[in-house]
Amino acid sequence: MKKWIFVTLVVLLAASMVLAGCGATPEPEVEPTATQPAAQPTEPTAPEATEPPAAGALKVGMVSDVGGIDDASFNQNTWEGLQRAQEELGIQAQFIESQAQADYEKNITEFAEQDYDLVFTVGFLLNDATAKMAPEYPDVYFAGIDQWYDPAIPNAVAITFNVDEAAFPIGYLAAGWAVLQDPDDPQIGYVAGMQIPPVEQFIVAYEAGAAYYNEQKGTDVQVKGVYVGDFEAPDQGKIQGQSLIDEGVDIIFGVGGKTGNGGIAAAKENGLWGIGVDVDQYFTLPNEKDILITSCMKRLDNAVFGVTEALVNGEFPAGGIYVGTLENGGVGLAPYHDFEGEIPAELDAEVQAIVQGIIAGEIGTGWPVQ
Amino acid sequence: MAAQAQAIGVSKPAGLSRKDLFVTLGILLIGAILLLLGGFSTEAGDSSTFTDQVLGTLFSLPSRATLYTLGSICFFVAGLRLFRGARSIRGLLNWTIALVSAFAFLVWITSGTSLNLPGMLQATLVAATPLTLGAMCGVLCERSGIINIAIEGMMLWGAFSAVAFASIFDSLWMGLVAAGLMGGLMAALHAVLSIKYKVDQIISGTVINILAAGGTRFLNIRLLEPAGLSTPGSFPIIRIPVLSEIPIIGPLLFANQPIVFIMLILLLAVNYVVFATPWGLRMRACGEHPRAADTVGVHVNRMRYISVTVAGLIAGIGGAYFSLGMIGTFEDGMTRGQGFVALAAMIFGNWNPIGAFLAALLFGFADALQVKMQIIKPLLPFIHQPIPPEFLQMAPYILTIIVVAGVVGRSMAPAAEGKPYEKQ
Repeated sequence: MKKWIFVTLVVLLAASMVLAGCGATPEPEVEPTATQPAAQPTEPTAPEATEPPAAGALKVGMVSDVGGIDDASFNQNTWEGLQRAQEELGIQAQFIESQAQADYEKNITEFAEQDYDLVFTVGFLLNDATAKMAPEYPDVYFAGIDQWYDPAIPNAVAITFNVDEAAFPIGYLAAGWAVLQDPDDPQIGYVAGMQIPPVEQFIVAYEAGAAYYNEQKGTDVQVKGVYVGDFEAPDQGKIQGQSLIDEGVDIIFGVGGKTGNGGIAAAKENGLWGIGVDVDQYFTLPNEKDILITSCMKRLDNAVFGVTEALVNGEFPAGGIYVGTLENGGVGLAPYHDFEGEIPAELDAEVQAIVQGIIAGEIGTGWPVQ
Repeated sequence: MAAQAQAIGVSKPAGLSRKDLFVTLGILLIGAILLLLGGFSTEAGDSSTFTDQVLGTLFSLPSRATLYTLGSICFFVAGLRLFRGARSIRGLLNWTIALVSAFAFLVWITSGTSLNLPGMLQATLVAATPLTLGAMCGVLCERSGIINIAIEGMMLWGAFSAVAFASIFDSLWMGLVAAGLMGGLMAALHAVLSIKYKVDQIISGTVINILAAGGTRFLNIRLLEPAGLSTPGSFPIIRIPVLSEIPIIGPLLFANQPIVFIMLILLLAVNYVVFATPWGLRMRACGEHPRAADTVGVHVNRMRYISVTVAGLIAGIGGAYFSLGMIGTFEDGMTRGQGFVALAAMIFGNWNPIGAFLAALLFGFADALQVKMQIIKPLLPFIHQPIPPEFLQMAPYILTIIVVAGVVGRSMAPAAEGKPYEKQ
């Protein structure tokens, strides 16, 4: 009987390990690839004819952060860019989800040992792991999203986004909306994840955008916000968003994965408004989409596609950086969707003018902080 | 608590114990900090205004004078503690100081501005809800003699099943029922492993936790999301007519999401059953001295099966708080260790549901306080900088250590917990 129970436990444990890792291990041999160039040398469509012959064999891996591939945010957005690259560029894409911060190096090694050509590591928190592992595998290219290498690493490219360029007009828009809805006490808020530079970049520019509104209109829109200290705590995000609303906040900018989504849920519950982040959250938050006036988009998919395309074309900016901006579509404002008719045309025109002003370099976003 | 303090006083009649000395010095320190904050971090004319969503301004206090007064109270109490005659009320004095310093802190951060006090208490209650439900699960298990470190796993299964079944039946209430049943099922598994097969209870609990992390994740990605069953929506706020109209306590206690009401009702029910019914007495006997219970005709293992399974039901409902209660979807690992915090609340509350509830309220309050401090950004005296958020996020845990070490006495686990019972 003892033996029986021991066997049961072993089976249960083994099953949980398998389930936990499900969908996360790279299995290149079973992954359906768009093209098998060795086997089918001539697919006489125009774009593929221009491809370098080895393109179909390029293997691109992605190590996600702990949020999971289905986070409806940056991990998912990166993967969408890679899927697009898989369809349009004929590369072979695969991902590993990191279950904990301790997994980063292990997962990077997993891809590097399997001779992947390019490995994307998603998120600021993978910065150190990428900087440490990239020199160990000089034949593999690395691309770190939201990362920065000092000194530059010859086989890695740092992908950064000037999210402040998008967050600034959003701060302006939010302030305008708050004045419109609550003229007596207009306040805008944010529920943020950890206080790390990529998050602060949103917040600083968001506050600066609101300050710019005050300056232009002579109003006194206040900005109040919290750093929850966690990207994975929607329940905390909601409670803390409620606290902001208790103090009079009219609109909540959720900056920080699932935690930020909790803040937007609090706005919904109070009949107020929210602003999404990273992707157009109108499509990823079905319960709250009707209160989102816009989203501050970081187009990771465009950046990932751009970097992969550069690799396919032999123009990979190794040792350099790739910056997503308002100008190259790397960042941007999502459509107003349900608020299309409700945002006054005048406010919209001012926001668009600010976007143009930022592209032209006439308006500063307040980031980096001096 | 008072009885314990008295017992210590009797055993050491001469002078102060070292612990008493530390606590007294701590209170003096708090008093000094309050005076400093009053003197250097508030302006002479500043007042601290406490507001309410409905009533507007509740009351307004002159910040500096209030801090001076509360600081002086701390000194007075520290002095009072040294008198032998005050021994019997030491527990009471400790709690007074805890309340005074919490309120003084609020006055300080609010100086020159306003703060929504009922909103803060509401946040405290909501944050305490899953912890209390989890801790009640722990109380029922451990009082009957089974260690349960799988509260986290049971809550995670609850959170998951709530979303799955709420979507399938298109009814949030069915989701809640399913969450309870799933928690109960996992608990029954734990019971079978630890009672029938006498597996080490820590190992059995760990297995359930790991199974929950992997299983819910797998089913969520492979079943719920592809089938479009992952967004049932969340429970609305229920306002009890008339009662919710009472100023301040109405919105606080009678306008909440249903899981908060369920938690409050279960809290009273579990406390009654465990401490005031014959069944509860028998159950506790199984956890303290199973052989004695068996001798007088209690079916020890049957008792344990029932307790553990019911406990799992409660944990499952606690899990539904995270999904249906908060954001209306399931996310991987969304209970994020709160099951273990619940375990801490249970021990902190001395294996007593009401005690665990108070502990959970303390955790919740500390968290609500750090949030308010981030919103208001009070400047520290002398350096004139706001406190960094990372430090504030750490504060609830520091507060917990202080309270556990200084205010709460030694806690006593049920004597026979963790030991499988074999009939002779």
